[in-house]
Amino acid sequence: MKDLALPAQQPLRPPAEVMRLKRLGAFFPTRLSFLRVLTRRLSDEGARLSRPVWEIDADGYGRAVLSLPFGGRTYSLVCVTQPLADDQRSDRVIATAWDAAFVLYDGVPDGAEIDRIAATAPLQEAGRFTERDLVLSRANRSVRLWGHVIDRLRGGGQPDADLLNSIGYLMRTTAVYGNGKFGIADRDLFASRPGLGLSFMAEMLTVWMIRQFTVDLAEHVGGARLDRRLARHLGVGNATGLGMAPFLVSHPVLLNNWMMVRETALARARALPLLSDAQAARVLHLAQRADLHLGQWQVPEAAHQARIDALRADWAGFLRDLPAALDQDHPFDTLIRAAATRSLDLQELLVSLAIEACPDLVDGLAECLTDPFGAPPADFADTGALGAAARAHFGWVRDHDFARADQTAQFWYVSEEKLEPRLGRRHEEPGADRESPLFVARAVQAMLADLPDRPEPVTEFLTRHPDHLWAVERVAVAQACPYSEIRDNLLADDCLPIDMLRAKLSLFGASKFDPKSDLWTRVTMAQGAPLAEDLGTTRADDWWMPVLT
Amino acid sequence: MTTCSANEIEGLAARAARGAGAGVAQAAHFGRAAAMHLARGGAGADLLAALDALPGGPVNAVPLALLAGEGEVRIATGGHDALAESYLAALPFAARVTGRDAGGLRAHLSRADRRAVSLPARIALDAGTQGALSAFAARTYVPQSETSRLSGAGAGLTDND
Repeated sequence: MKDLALPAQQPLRPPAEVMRLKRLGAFFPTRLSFLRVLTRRLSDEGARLSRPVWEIDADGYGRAVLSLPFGGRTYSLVCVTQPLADDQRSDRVIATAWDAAFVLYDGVPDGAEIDRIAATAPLQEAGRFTERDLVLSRANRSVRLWGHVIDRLRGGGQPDADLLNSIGYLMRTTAVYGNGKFGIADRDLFASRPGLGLSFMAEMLTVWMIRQFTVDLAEHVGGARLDRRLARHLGVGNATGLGMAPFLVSHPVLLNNWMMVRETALARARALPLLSDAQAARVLHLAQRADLHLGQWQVPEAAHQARIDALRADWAGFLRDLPAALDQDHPFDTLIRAAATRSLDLQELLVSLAIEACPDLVDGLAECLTDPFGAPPADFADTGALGAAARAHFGWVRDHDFARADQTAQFWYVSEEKLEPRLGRRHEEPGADRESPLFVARAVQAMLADLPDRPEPVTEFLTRHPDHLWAVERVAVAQACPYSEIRDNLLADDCLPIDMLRAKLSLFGASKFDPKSDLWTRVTMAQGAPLAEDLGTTRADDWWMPVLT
Repeated sequence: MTTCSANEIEGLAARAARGAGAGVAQAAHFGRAAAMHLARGGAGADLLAALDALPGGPVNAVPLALLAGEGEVRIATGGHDALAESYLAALPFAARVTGRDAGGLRAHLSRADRRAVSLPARIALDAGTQGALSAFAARTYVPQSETSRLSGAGAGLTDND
């Protein structure tokens, strides 16, 4: 076996710098985002999509099956569409009907299986599913763009590029359920399969196939083919609410591993001593594309648009200095250091650019986007060792005074109404006694306060204080996994869930963040991604910061 | 009788344990043990008995005994031996029962000997257990109010744009 040396790398950015809400809320997707990893793999395999069933009427209602080989097996997206009254069209979890419902199926379904899914998928959370059903999802049309695209295609024309860019998708998903929900397959059942083993690959495959279905459906109803330039710029929308945020807290090892991949990729880019002329030209090209992308990223909410505009102005200044910077030693390291006083948005866009520019150094890291080993044991010698580890890895919790009302102003909870995740005001609303466990900082601080002066076995301490077991286990994880915790108080008045949503969505590969409040956002997934026909071509892995040109 | 995914049972049981008063970590461990217990053919009544025993009983005692144990450990099961064995079976490393005494089990743990914990694709859950677990779980849900409906998720109710 040949020995392969690991690429050189600079020190990783410290967790105290990276794992802050404000920085997480400035993340951009990278070539190691899950959707990019998926489409790269599909393209490397030269996967060919087929449509074994297409029973859709002239108005776009009916059922279809799209099938795709991946990692030596075949997966199918079963699509069911139905008419939906406007007053039923809601992105909220509490909705009960949708324009389209989807199941990612393990294999190619026969007629009976399609009938079963066609009957149950539209029920979503109210349905029961089987272990052949890997992912469950639903989507609503973008009413404006859908109608426009159909009208134009039927009239023999093509959609208006500006309108298409401003919306960016024909349908948006409002949930993508995996890992056993409502009886679908547990992730463990396919986690060892080539292709689907990495985090959220089944969900990303579903999203990418839904995107293809929306293009196919519009062409079917419109009776004409979309210009491929426009079709590629159609992603699939997603409306993301609070439900996504708790995952980052309840999966600390996974969060660490995702962040380690991202930060290691950056550290490798920073260690690159010199760029060839071709590499420098590529970086310039990408940076200019990012400038165009920022210009095409238009959102209705004024404050967020101002933030995008400010980043674009910053980026323009950065672009002017970039050619000279690329001639220096360790250009990415130099650029990152120089950007330390700039906005977090610019810093994180630069991180994404550096990673994008170094595919040979970073792409292999995608193999680590998973958690095969689980949490480490909490084997502290005694409470003295526990306290030392807690102070070393959770020193930041001392910054928060939980006696202050503003430090406990919010509480996360699950509503009994369709189990929708919500955020409440602790001192104004009932329900805080039922809060969901996102109070890591408070729990670790409370555990530290109860530690005895004289060391004793941890089990004796926990016998007196069983509720501190969670904090003890978090300390054990943090000791082994430096990026496992968001180092902010998630109960504080100034905690914005939108920052957590953006971090996770960027790791998925979402772009065009369009926050609608501090609690939920719309995004575009797979915009610029390869269409099925693009797999196996050079364009399939070149969709960082997509632009409509 | 419903057949469920393992993750459904794990999630329901963990939430039920929270509703019954267990700590966050103990509830998560109980969830994993519950899925394993039913998968091994254990009785749903064992799960409910453990929740009824809170704040005593195996939900608190077993995770503590397993916390950092290595080699021979004793687990005070308080009569919940079958469920305690499911806790052992759900560990991601080698663990086996080596003996029994009044009120407990002895087990041998070998953390270095990692193993894949595999659960069947479907696990049967009887209606009585499901109903009782769901009732415990419901204690963690915040009752609906118009305020929470309109502001708690930060979004409106229709999206026709």
